[in-house]
This record gives sequence, C-alpha cells and structure tokens, in this order.
Amino acid sequence: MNRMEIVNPVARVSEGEKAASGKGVASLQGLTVGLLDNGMPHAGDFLSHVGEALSERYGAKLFVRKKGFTARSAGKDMLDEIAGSCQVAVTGFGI
Amino acid sequence: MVVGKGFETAARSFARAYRSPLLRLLLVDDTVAHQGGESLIRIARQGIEAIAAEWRGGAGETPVPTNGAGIEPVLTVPVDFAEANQFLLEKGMTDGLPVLLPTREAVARFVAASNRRGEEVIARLMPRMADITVEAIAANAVMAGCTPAMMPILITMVQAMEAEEYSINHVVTTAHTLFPIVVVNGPIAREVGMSDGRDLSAKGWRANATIGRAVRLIMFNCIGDLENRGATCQGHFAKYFDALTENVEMSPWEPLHVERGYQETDSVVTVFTAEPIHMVDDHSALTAQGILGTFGTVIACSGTRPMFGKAQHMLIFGPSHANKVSQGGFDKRLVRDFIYEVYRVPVHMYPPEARERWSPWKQMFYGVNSMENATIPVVEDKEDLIIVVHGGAGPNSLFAPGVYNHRSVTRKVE
Repeated sequence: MNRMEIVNPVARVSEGEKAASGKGVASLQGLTVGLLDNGMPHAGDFLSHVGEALSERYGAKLFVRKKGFTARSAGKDMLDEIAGSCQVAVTGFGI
Repeated sequence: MVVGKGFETAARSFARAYRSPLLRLLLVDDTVAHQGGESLIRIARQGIEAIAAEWRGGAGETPVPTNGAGIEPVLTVPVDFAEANQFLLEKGMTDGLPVLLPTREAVARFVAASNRRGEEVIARLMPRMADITVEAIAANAVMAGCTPAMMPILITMVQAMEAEEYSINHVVTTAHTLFPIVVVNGPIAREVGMSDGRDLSAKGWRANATIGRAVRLIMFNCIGDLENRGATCQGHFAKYFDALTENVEMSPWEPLHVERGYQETDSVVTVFTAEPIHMVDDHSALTAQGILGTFGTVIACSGTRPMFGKAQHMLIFGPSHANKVSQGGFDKRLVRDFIYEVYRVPVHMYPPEARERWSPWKQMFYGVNSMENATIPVVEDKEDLIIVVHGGAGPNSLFAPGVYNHRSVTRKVE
C-alpha cells in the first residue's frame, strides 16, 4: 500500500473538564428567563420581543443583561449571575 | 441560542468549548440584523414555540463530546504528493494551496529549532481550546513552507494572540473580512530572510509569505472549529496575507518595537488585526502636510469598523513618504497629532442609522445635539495610530484599518 505517515496538524483537545450537567424544564410557567443581549445591532430589540412573548404566553419572568462587546465572553461574573438567577436563557450568535 | 444560519457550526463550536450540553439552537435568517419593526416582532414570536419546545425536551444530563477529542496524532496519507494534498484538502486542513507534508522528520527538525519540547503547550485559544503544542505549530509551519528558523516567530505570535485584548475568538470566527498582520522587528527578521518591502525577488518574499501562511493554517487547525473556517461574508478574499518587517535602513523614525519599549537588538513580534489594506497614492505632494493629507483622506471615512468603536489603525509608510514627512519636521508623535486634529469625519457623513452603533465615547461627544458639521477624529486616542515603515522605492504607502475592540499585542521572542 503506497501510504505514508505524517504528523497531524490539527491540535487536540486534552481530556479536561467534564461536560456541564443540566436538565430541561417540564414547564415554563413562572420560570425566570435570562435574556443576554450580545451587543449586535437590534439584538436588544429582538430579545425584548422574545421576552414579551414568553412572558405573555408562559408567564415567565425576565432577567435581562447586555454584553460589553459582541465577540468577547460576557464574563464569568455575568454568566454566574444569569445561571444563579435563571432556569433558562436566550442569547444570540451571528445575528 | 438564536443563531444566524451561517453561524451554526461556529455556535456549536463555542458550546463544545464551554462544555455546554444543553445549548438549543434556533436558526434564523442571517439578515435578521437588518430587520426591524413588525418584521422583527414576527420572527421573534415565530421562534417562541420552538424555544419553549426545546427547553421542555431533553431533561437530564447530555454529555457532549469535545471538539477534537479522538484526533489521532498521526495521519496516514497517500505517498503521491498530489493525492496527499487532495486528502488533506478534503479533510479541511489546508488553505486550498498545495502544502508540504509534515513528516515526522520534518516536524522534528522544526521542533528542534524552537529549543522547546514538542509536547509543550504554548496556548489554548478560543473557540476550540485545543492544546496548541510546539509540535502542532511545527506541523503547520512545515505545511506552509516555512524554514525551521521561523519557529520562534510563530510561537511568539501564538503567545501574543492569547492576550485578551487581541480577541482571537472574534478573529477566527467572525464573518468580517479581517486578518492578522504580523510585524516582526529585530535581528530575527533578517536571520530568517524577511523582506522589508524592497525585495522584488521571490527569495525576498518567501519568509513573509510563508510566515503569513502559517498564521492562517494555525488558525484553521489549532484555534478555529474543525467544521467552520469562518463564516466570512467575502470568503477567501483578503484572507491570504503575509507578514512584514520594517525597512529600518531607510526609515527616519524608530521602529515599532523600540517605540514600545524594547531594545533595538531585541527580536519582537506584534500581531494586529486589520481589515483589507488600502494603498495611499501620493505622487505629487511637495510638503509633509500634503502627503499626510493624502493619508488623511484615505483614513477619514465613515464605513470602516473603527468608526464605530475604539480601534487602532496601522499606517504603513513607504520610505519615500516617511522621509519627506520627516524632513518637514514630523516625528511619529506629530504625525499622529496631525492626522487626529486635521483629518476628521464630519458627523453628517454618517447615516443616521449608523450612528446608533457608535461607541459610548462617540455617543457621549457627538451623539446628542451634535452639530452636523462637527468633526470626529479617526481614532479615540492618538496613540491608536500605529506607524511602521515598510517598502522600497516609490511614492506609495499603505493604510490598514483596524477593528474596534481589537488591540495589537507585542511580545518579545524568547
């Protein structure tokens, strides 16, 4: 067989943290929904409409936060705040 | 997560990087950013049922395989060069051009040239958070056509990209047409044969081109998502780039690394994220102000990313322009002062909708009750005008717009 070995140029992800655990929800009634504005144009407007509809239709409470810069993480503090205050969350990517 | 359709693979990559198993995606048309009013409301409300259904399903832990787990350290490829390249191309491991094959022997030579162990992890960068080892950098450097002596430059570049202010995850995943400019200063530039812009021979171009190519391959194979080469609006265009070093001999000013506090004899790498470069063409000005005016009219426009937030620009002076400007009494500080003070963008040049995207600084100074003929400087801080001298004979220079919220990062080669 005319084949040869080369070093794989693709970097590997080492064994590391386990996948974060979490559960779905049986109902949205009375839940607190996090809305994370990713800073893209009109993202805030879009999420506000999402939040309104979730609140009207499912009685969800809203918890709104906005990132400083679209392409950077919201930061541990903000993410911890959302995780600690909400059961589910909505954000945007690429829009 | 509400995701534009062109960004689905990138979104899943981030979810894997964060080990997030319960990421539900709602795909929407990429043009939702240009929607408003009733159209936006309709899209949002249509998505509610899908969002709610996703949340109600899938209770329990959902382990997610990490992106890159199970990648073997060695690949088996056809011996035939063309077939091997086709194999790698189909795996998404190349930039579309033929690559040299990273054999064990070749990679070992490159690792040895780094004076480090191959398994040493230089960095882990978003989005994939893979182990960017010396060996991985070496394999991509071989593929790019680099020489082993270039390894310290590439390692230092990866280290520089780790700085938070560089925003590497945006560079790798964005749809924007941007790319890293790598500036190499100091003795190592000459040692590896980099061109300061004067060379018209391929020999002079090789180092610049292969370093730049290695940057891109490292971004593909070591940083970015394996399934997503960047959801760019304009595909590959302007994504083939090279590195540069300054023409120190013909420059009237101190080089970038000295300006940033390093010794002239230090070898230093700077990474800067740029939009596509524009030529600055001035064949006739007899004064420094005339040449700077030509620069200014190229820079002072309202359609580049820096106009919306704090960003740096890179002014790449050809030696002819640099010396004329210097002879007119301008050092780098005065060049910055002149561009900042004289060449500004009138408020009325911005469409009203574009002003909604202005940075907080611009909003504060020019957003409320601003006169339409008020003028806005091209950068928020004068120091954000980065000046280098590169090139040979001829009355031309280059302007590389930066990207807001991206900062250049400089590191010494160790």
